[in-house]
Amino acid sequence: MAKDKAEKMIRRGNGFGDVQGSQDSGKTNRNVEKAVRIVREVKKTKKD
Amino acid sequence: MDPQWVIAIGTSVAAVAAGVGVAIAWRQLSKLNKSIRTASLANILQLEAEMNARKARVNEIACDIRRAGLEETPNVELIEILDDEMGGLIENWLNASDRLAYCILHKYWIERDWRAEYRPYMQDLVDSYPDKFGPNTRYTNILDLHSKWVRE
Repeated sequence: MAKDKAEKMIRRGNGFGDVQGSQDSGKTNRNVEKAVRIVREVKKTKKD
Repeated sequence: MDPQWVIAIGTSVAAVAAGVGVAIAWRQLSKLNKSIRTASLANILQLEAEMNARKARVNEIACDIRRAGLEETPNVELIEILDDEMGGLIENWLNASDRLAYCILHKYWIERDWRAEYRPYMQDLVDSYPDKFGPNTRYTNILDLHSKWVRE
C-alpha cells in the first residue's frame, strides 16, 4: 500500500505538468547530433 | 487572600502567557516556513529558466551549423568556429544541469517532486554526450543522480 502511494507520488511529479523546456531536450540533443555529423563530414572533406 | 489562591492565580496567568507565547511562535514559524518554501520555489524556477536558456542557445548554434552545412560549398572555417562555440555552449548547459542535480542529490529540493520530469532529461544528457561523462567527468552530480535513479 505504502509502495503504491509512493509510486503514485513519483508519477505525479511536481504538479507543473512539465518542467520548462524539458520535453524538447531530446530534440536539442538530436539537433546537436546532426550538427556534429555535419562537422565531421566537413572536416573529412577538408582533409581529403 | 489565601497564599494558595495567589499561587494558583499566578500559575494560571503564567500558563495563559505561555500558551499565547506558543501561539505567536507557531504563527511566526508558519510564516517563516512559507517564506522558505517561496524562496525555494523561486530558486528552482530561476535555475530551470537558466537551464532552458542555455539549452536554447545550444539548439540555435546546432541549427546554424546545419544551415551552414546546406550551402553548396560549405564554409569549413565558419563551421569549425561554430563547432567550437557549440562545445562551450554545451558545457554551459551541462553546468547548469549539474547544479540542478546537486540540489536534488543533496536534498535542497524534494527528490520525488522532480524525479518524474528529470529522470528522462538526465538519461538523455548522459546518453547524448558520452564524451562528457567519462571517468574524468566534471559533471559528477548529473552522473550520480542518473545512476541513483537508474538503480531505483
